[in-house]
Amino acid sequence: MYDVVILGSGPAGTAAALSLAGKRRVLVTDVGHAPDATSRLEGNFYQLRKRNPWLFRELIGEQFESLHNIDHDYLMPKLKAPLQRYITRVVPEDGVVIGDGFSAVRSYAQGGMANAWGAQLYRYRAEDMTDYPISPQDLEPYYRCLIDRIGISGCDDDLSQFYGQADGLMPPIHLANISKSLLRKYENKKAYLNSHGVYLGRPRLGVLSRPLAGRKRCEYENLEFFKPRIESVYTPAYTLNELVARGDISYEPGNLAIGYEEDGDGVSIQVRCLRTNEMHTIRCKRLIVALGTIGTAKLVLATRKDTTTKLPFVDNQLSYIPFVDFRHLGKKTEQDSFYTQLNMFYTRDDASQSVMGSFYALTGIFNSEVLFDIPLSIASSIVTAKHILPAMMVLHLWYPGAPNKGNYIQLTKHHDVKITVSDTLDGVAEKRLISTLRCLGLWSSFRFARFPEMGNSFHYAGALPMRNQPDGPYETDRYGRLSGSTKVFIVDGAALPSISAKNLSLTIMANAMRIAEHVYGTLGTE
Amino acid sequence: MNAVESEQALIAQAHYLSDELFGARAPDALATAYARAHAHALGVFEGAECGVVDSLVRLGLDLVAVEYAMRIREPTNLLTKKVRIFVYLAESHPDYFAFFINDRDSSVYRSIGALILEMFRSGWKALKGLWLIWRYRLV
Repeated sequence: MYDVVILGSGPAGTAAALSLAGKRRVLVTDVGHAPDATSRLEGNFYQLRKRNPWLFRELIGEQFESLHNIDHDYLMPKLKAPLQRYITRVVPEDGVVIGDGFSAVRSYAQGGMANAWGAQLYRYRAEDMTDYPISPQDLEPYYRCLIDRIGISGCDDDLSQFYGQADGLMPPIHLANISKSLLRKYENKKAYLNSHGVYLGRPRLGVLSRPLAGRKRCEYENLEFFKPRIESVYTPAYTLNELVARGDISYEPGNLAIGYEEDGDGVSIQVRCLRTNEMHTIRCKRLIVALGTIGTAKLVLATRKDTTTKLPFVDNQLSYIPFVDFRHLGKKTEQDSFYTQLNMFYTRDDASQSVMGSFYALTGIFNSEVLFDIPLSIASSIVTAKHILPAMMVLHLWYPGAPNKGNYIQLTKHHDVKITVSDTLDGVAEKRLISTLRCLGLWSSFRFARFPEMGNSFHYAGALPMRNQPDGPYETDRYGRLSGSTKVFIVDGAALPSISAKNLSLTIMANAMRIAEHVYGTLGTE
Repeated sequence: MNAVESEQALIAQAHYLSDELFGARAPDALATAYARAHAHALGVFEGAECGVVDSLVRLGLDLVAVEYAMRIREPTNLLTKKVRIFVYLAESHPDYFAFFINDRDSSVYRSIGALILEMFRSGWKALKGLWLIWRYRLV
């Protein structure tokens, strides 16, 4: 019997494992799809494309994975790249997610959705946690541990008021020329922009600007969209593999968790071995669930055979606005770059929380992703794109996510999951930003703004929220312990009552470490 | 139900598309990939839609003009999807790199001039495409 079983090897599961590593007998288990180890993607994305041989398998795919969006539901470029498809490879045995106003993206991969994340990692501050039963001080020791281990690059600038202290950061990674000039212009127009609620600065990224623990620093090869497990970009799989190599934990992929049962001595977890299709039971003293909000909610509801309860579901709503900086028209394509460039916070007068924006350069992807969005003939679009794409940036706006009666997740009678949400974006922030950012030489029009269906942020939370006094069977206490349970702990986004506009990953990881440390304490002399 | 286009027909389409868009015959590997891509990249389409593409290839009509006009009328038409497949494949192939990537700076004014020219060119292509669709009863 294991002391602790952790279901899920994503950011939360791996962080929990880190807390327990070497202290107790720990098993991490999940489906655990892994990337194909063989790839010819070594070098710069643009240099590789110029040379023979044609990298058909890596850039297009034997199943033509890169062409997915031509006649199928949209997948973001990073997820449809051939070598990245393992991240969202489905597991038919686990049913489907039915979205009502929601496009669900789930990962059964080793390391979870973090294999495709933008690596933006931020502390939550007090204003981000007003409905949490814990404070930022409760998480601070774990934030520090993770910052030191992961290697986060960034700096102390105007966005520190939103991100928190800048200690422990590596120097920021290089900016593309368009971003450098944008930042210079911001310094000149700061007073005006700040008076309109706009603040600009560098993101904090789990991307190394110098080597750390045997991992190389970023080499700006623009392969983020196509190459799995780029060394300089942190993914929890690195920590998982390190802990396994040291013998501190055991890891068993290939298992789909179906349910669990508590008894006096511990927890019996029913899993289906996907290779043999046979069911078996894993025993442990404590169970930590970190399957991602959708997976965790489903496991708990399925265990309780509950197809009527609607659990709250929280997501970051999202919008995209393409901008052009005409001063950069016709510039050489920036071939040595990283796609995440600058961040922005915007606080509306009528809003209590800020909206976060991320400026992305259009490098590292094919022009073909956007060619047919240009309202010209294809021949003209191909010529135009060469001139205009180096002058373009796309602003992703992330909105805070709070519980809403209309947004919920439930289990269906057929053992699928249904998520129902309602979009509340009114486009006001987008219109104001389009107008305000003109002073930086950024031009756009509201007609180009896009409002993807909810779910496209991949930031899901809220289903089993932490409370000081849990009320009802589907809440958790401040240590993630599930109501009605003594041995089952929830450590992923499901435990967060609400989410800030900032990326939630570092907070999920810190909270998972905190809860796992508590779980270790409950084992006592057992 | 999908209409079935023969591999030879699809390979011929690839060479036609390459010639129309880039002024050169497609490498054989690219043409073969274009043919294979149809089974993976496309959903269901009607046989009548294939007729448009066959006519373009057979009559040697202005692909750019017809595709643009059809895209304006119906963005999800089969011809546009086929062109998207080919352009995506071409962009990934070394032989077409220079068509898609700026390897050197050019002046802002030259770029603005190029953009204005392409806008007028597109306008002309749209009109020509609509006329070709009507003249040859392509839809």
